[in-house]
Amino acid sequence: MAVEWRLAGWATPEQAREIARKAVAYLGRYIDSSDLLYDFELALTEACANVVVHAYSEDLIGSLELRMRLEPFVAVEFEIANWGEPFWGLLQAEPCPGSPEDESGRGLYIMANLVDSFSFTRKGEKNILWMSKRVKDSLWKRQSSSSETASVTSPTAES
Amino acid sequence: MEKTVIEQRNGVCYVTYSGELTLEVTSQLKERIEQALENEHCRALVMDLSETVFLDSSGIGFLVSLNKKMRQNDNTFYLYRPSTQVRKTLSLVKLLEYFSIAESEEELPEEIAG
Repeated sequence: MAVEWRLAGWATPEQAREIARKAVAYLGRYIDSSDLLYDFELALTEACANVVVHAYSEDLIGSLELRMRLEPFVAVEFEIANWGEPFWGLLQAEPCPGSPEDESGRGLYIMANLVDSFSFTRKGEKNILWMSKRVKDSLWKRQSSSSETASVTSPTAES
Repeated sequence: MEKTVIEQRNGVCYVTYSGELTLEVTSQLKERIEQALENEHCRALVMDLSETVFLDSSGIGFLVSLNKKMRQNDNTFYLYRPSTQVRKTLSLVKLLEYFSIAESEEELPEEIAG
């Protein structure tokens, strides 16, 4: 049975990082590999930071929402959404590590290398980054077979 | 909780950073370190990352920026004992070879080792 989890907050550096941190803490109930959890934490931190830096203009703080769907012993999917500027550039961007001297621009490359597939879409006013990764059976905690739906919505993800 | 200790001895700036090196902290940290570098001419910057538990692309950009700044002035920059997490992120973006990394004082030049 699939498990769904959701958390929303403001697109500030602090709340974006907190949303990623809480998502990974939740994943830790199901996944038994600290290495894989670090990968998920990095991918989600990049995805959420991307919203903070690119989605909203400097004088406007908008919303950020993270949804997770776990299919225990099979895969994890993430949806990171915002209601800011459409990221048309990212729709066709090729992930690339860039030059060693670059001081920015590695987020997409990091995300692309940590998941199996990802995509950017825009539905109405909503921009969505979707990522998915298959997780092999042996990396799941054995007790995580029950169905569950968790939903937390908070304008202050630090609660 | 993040913690930064900055010490200057004999023209070398030693920074020990504990915590997460992410978008949350990089601007402020960069300001602090650059101010320390300006206050006393430092020919080398040694950044101890042994207690840095998380590094994202903002943190990478911060480290690249410090490296460039030091090199531009003919100075040197070392990552000292980077944690497993720091190494993992740097490896992912193929930057392990880009930085000068020291795992012990013996691997630092004699004039820099504390």
